[in-house]
Amino acid sequence: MKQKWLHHESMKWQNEGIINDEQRKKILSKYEKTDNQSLIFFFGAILIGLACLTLVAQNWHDIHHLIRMGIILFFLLLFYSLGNIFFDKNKSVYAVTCFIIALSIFGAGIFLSGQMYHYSMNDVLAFFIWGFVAFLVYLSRPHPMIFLSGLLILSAGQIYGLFSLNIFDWSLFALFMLAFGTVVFVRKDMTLSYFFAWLYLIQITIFTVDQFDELYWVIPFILMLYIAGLLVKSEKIRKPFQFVSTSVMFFVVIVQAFVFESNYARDQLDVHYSYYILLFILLIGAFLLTWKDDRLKIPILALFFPVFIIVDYTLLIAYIVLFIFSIGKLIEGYEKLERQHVIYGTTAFLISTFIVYFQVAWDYMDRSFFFLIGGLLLIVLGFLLERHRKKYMNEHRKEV
Amino acid sequence: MRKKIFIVAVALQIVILLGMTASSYVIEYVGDVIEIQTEPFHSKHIYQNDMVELNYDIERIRPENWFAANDIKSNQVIYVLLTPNDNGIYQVKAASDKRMDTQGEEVVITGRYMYQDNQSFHRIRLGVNRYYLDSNGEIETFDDRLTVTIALSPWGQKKIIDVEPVE
Repeated sequence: MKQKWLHHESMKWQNEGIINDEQRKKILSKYEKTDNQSLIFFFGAILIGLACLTLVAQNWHDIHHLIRMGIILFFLLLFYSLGNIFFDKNKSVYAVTCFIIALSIFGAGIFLSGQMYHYSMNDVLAFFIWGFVAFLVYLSRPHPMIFLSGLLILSAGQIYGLFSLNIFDWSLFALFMLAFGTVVFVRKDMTLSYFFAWLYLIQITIFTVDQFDELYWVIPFILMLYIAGLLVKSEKIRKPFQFVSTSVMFFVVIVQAFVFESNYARDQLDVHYSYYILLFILLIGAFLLTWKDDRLKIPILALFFPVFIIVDYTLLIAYIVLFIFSIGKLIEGYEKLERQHVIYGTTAFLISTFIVYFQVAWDYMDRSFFFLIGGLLLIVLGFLLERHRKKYMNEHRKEV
Repeated sequence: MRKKIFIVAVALQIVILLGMTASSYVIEYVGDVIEIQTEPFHSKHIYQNDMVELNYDIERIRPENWFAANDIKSNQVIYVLLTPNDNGIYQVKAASDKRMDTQGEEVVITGRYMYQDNQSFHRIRLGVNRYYLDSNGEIETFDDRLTVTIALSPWGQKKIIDVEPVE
C-alpha cells in the first residue's frame, strides 16, 4: 500500500522537476518490498509448533518424565536457534517473536518440572530465575519487547507472591530496579522508560499493599518516580516518568475524592504522622528542583498533595488540586506554545469539571436534565477553551 | 560480547532445567527418607483412574504442638518438626513459622498454612498430595490408611518414593 503510494507520488515529483530519475530510484530502493513469503512460512511453523504442543499437552501424563524434559529442551533450543538465524538475517520481528516464545518455554519448563518433581515452590525464586534469564537475553539481543517481557515476568512474580504467599519479594524488586532500571538510565530510550515507569507502579503498589496495608502509601513512591524524572536531564527518561506519574496521580486524586465521600472510609482513615513528614519532605524536594528547572511545571506538584489531610474536606481539596493541575497544564501549554500540553490541560480540565458537576448535581437533578446540562456545560467549556487557544496561538505566531 | 552473553543465557536455561531434573534423582541419596501415614483413604480420593489424592496425618496439627505467631496468613511457610514413633512412622512434634533445630532422628518438613478447622486443629498442606499410579494399574477400592515414603532434600524439595497400604 505504502509502496504503491510512494511509486505514484515520486512519479509526480519527477514530473514536476523536484527530483530526477536517479534520485527517484534511490528513494524507491530505500523502501524495498517486504518479504511476505517468509511471513507465511513463519506462521505455518508457529501453527505446526502449536499442534505439537497440544499433542504433547493432551498426553502429558503418559509421557515419561525424562522424555517430557527432552521435549521442553528441544523446543527451547529450536526457538533460540531459529531466533538467532532471523537475528543474523536482520529480521528483528521474527527473531524477537522466537526469543519470546523460547523464554515462555523456559518459564513453562521451570513450572512444569517444579510440578513433575514436586519442588515445593517456597518462594518466587522461579520468577526470579526466569526474569534474570530474560534480562540476559535482552542484553544480548536488545529489543524493547524482550525488555517488556522481562518486566512482565517480574511483575507477574510479584503479583503471584502477593496473592498466593502474601509476601512482597525483595529479590524481584531488586532485579527490577538494579538490572532493568540501569538499562533505562544507560540506554535513554523513550519506549523502555514508559515500560519501566508503568510496571514500576505495579511493583510499588504490591509493596504498599503488603507492607503498609493502606493504599495511600503509594503516593510518596509515585512522587519518587516523578523526582527521578526531574533529576535526570534526558528528556527521553524525564517525559515518560513524569507523564506516567502525573496521569496516575490524576486518577488517584479522583478516586480519593469518591472514596472519602463515604463516612465509613472517613472513619477508617488513620494516617500516621510519619507519612505526612515523608510526603512533605519529598514535595519540598520536588518543589525546589522544579523551581530551579522549569517554574511553569510547579502547579503539577499539586497532584501529589495529600487531599485527605483534612478528611472532611477531601472532596473540596481534591477539586482544588485537580483544577490547579489542569489550569497549570493549560498555562504551560500556552506559554510554551506546545499543543500537547494544551490538549492534556484541556482534557484534564473538562474531566475535572464534569466530576465536580457529577458530584454536586447528581443527587437532586432529574437524570435526563442532568445529562443535558452536563453535555451543554462541556460543549460551552470546550468551545471557550478552543477559542482561547486559537486566539492565543495566532497572537503568538504573529509575534514570531 | 553480545554473542557470548546470548550463549551464556541459553546455556544457563538448559543447565537450570537439567539441574532440576537431576536433583529429583539424587534426592533419595542426599536427603532424609521418612515414612508418614495418610488419613483413612477412600475411593473418593481417586481421580481419573490414575491419580490419588493423599491427605497426611501430619497436615493436621494439634493446638498443643502449634508454636506459630497468631497472625499467620494462609499460604505462609510452616516448619514442622517430625519425630519417629515406635513403628518408624514420623509424627508431629512441633510446628512453627520459624525454622527449628533437629536432634537425633528428627527431621523438619515444610508446608503451607491453610486454615484452623472447627476442632481448632491447624491445617497445612505439604504440597506433595498427588500421586500418579502407572496408568495401566487398576486401583482397588479400600478404606484404609496408606504409608507414604518421602525423600526430603536439604534445599526443601520433596519427592514421593513409594505408596503402600498399611499392613
